Amino acid sequence: MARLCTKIALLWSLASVAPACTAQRMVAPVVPPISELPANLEEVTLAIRTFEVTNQTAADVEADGRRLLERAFVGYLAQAGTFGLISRRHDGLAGDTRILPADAVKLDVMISVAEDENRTYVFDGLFFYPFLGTLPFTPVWGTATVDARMRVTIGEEEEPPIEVQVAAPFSIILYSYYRTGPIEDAFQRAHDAVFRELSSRLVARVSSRTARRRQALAEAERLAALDPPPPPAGTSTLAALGGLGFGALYDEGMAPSTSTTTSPFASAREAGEPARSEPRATPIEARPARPLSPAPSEQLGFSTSSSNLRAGGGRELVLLEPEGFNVIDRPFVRRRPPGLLERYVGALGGVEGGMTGGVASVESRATSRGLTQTVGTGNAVSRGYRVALYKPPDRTGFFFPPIVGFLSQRIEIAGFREDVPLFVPSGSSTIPAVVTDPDTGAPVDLDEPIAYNLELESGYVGQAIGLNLVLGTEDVQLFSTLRAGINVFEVRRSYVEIFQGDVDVHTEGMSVAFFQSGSVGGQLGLAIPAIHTVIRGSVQLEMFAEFDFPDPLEFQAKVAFNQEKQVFERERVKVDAAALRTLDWHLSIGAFF
Amino acid sequence: MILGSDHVSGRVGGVRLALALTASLLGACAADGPPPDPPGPLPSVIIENQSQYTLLELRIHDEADYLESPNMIADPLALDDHVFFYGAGNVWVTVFREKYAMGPILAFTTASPISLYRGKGYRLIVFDESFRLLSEPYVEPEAADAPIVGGGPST
Repeated sequence: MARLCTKIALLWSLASVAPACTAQRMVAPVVPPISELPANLEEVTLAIRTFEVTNQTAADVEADGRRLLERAFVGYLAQAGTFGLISRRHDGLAGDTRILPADAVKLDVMISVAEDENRTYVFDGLFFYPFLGTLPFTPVWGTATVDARMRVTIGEEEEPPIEVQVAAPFSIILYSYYRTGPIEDAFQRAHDAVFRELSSRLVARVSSRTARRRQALAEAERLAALDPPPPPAGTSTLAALGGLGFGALYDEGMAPSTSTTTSPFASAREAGEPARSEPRATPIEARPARPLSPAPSEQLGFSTSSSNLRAGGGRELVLLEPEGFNVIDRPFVRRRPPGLLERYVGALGGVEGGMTGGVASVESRATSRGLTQTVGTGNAVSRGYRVALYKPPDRTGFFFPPIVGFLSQRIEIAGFREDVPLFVPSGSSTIPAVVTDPDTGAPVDLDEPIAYNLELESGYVGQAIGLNLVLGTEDVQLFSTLRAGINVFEVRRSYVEIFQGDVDVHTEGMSVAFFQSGSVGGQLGLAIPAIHTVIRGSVQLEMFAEFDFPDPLEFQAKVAFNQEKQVFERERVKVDAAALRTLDWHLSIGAFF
Repeated sequence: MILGSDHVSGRVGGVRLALALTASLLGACAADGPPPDPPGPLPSVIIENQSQYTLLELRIHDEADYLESPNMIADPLALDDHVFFYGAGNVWVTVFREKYAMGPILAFTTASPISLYRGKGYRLIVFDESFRLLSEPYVEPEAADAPIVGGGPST
């Protein structure tokens, strides 16, 4: 009782502690170094009005993950484009006196994170009992998903939002109840991909607008150069241009700003962040001194035509490739189209050849004097070679295959030897018997066990459930499978041959059975897709609970003393059926496509 | 049907004649002493099947080899059934039965002869792999409640 209470207490503790190992989801990615010249967007002011996150975990709140994530996002924006100003938290809160240009690009970012998780449940059950939290092999796999939606408002005009969804796979093979690192790494990768995509799309959209505006400006200046009227004194090109949509523009009357308060990276630079070099604070090159007249057929500034905008809607799910040695839960995509041989053989999946063997056992039980005992047993061994179609599993997960099979087993079932003592009551004369062949008088071994030759056949259909576990990379994969099934319907044939010297005596019969048999099995293998090779070993145990005999067969029970007769004897028992078990193994090597 | 009664009566008559002659001789030769008692009847033997098998044949023979001895029962002897035998001297008993249902037929012979004495009664129990000889009250042939099989090999 004390041990049982201890086990229950341990299990309860485990169940309480295991969910507490919760991974952070707001894992800020590391801003990558500048790999190419960022877009020149000095005349653009970015303002992040809101940066909202949903579905945080307690670990995220504790680590202030939202703030770190926003900081990282600003870093990605700064890497993607050289903006005039990146302002954070300009959401018009009371007391916020910062003034943005009217045509500043305002962003409202909404990030939602999610995580889906899959387990084998078989090993998880073992983890809790009987291993009480010590079983290391508890695979878990899934995807960390980051869903981002960024509303873009330029001036007072709301642009189509930029939506990105990225899913990063993760897997933990050992001690998954005590580790969260791989999950957090997956979220970090997903955030990195989302921020890259958001920043690149935003920069592309803003750049296209800027380029068009610059083109229009240049055209206006060219036209003005043909016969330009002198501008009134003090009128800036900006006014002449009529507000082309960007605030921080330079004209001939303005000096480039060198004040730190208006530095484009002032908002992005915080304590601890590496200082970046200041962008070129120079006027737009080749800008004419005179204001430009807007082209009569083109509205200067941002065009609202959707054809001029990069599509901001239409969310795309980007699924990142797994990194390193992982649980594989989806097949790898072919890098090159299959050849003719691959297509032909690939239709079959694959082919394998190897050694096979097995053992079969049969057992009959009967009740004698109130005790159920085994009265007949038999064993058979088989060995050989086989060639078969086979393709290894390419993903982790449960599957539900149908079962269609045929069994044919020849096996001998026999009783057992046992000496029968001679009991001599007082006042009597007990004489043992001499056993001989009545035809020849030759001695006969009476203790030789009773034996029959059996031929058992069954055609069956059923349903199975299996679990594939595939670990590895695209080039090398370790796979294993556990499978269990039950045969729903069987048609059986039993043939019994009785030994009678030279005389052939036999009985035969057919029967049907429902839910009387099943199988369990497993395999372990190594697949190398690069060279289309698979090596594996498998075992399967089939069990037929009651294989009926056409007629009852006689055996002898164990020796017991008959009180009434005052003699030791082995009771004659009849059995109607036998339990049949077969254990088969295979070792094979094959090719698959 | 009582099969051995005539043979028994004839033998009894012959015995009496021999005894009478012997008594006369003794009376003529001996001037003193009473004459010996006449010999008792052939012992009754109840052969009972307490094995788990039906006995297909029963052979009683005065030597160990049973191959030339005839079967003494017309019908198989069922479980718990019995027959009567009247005979004296040292005899071997052999029964035939199958080893198991639809199996081979085997012969079971007493490892040593049983000694049957006149005027006695016996019960011979047949078990699966042994025999047991018990003393029983003598049963007159007329009182036998089961078939009587053959007679003893000696007089």
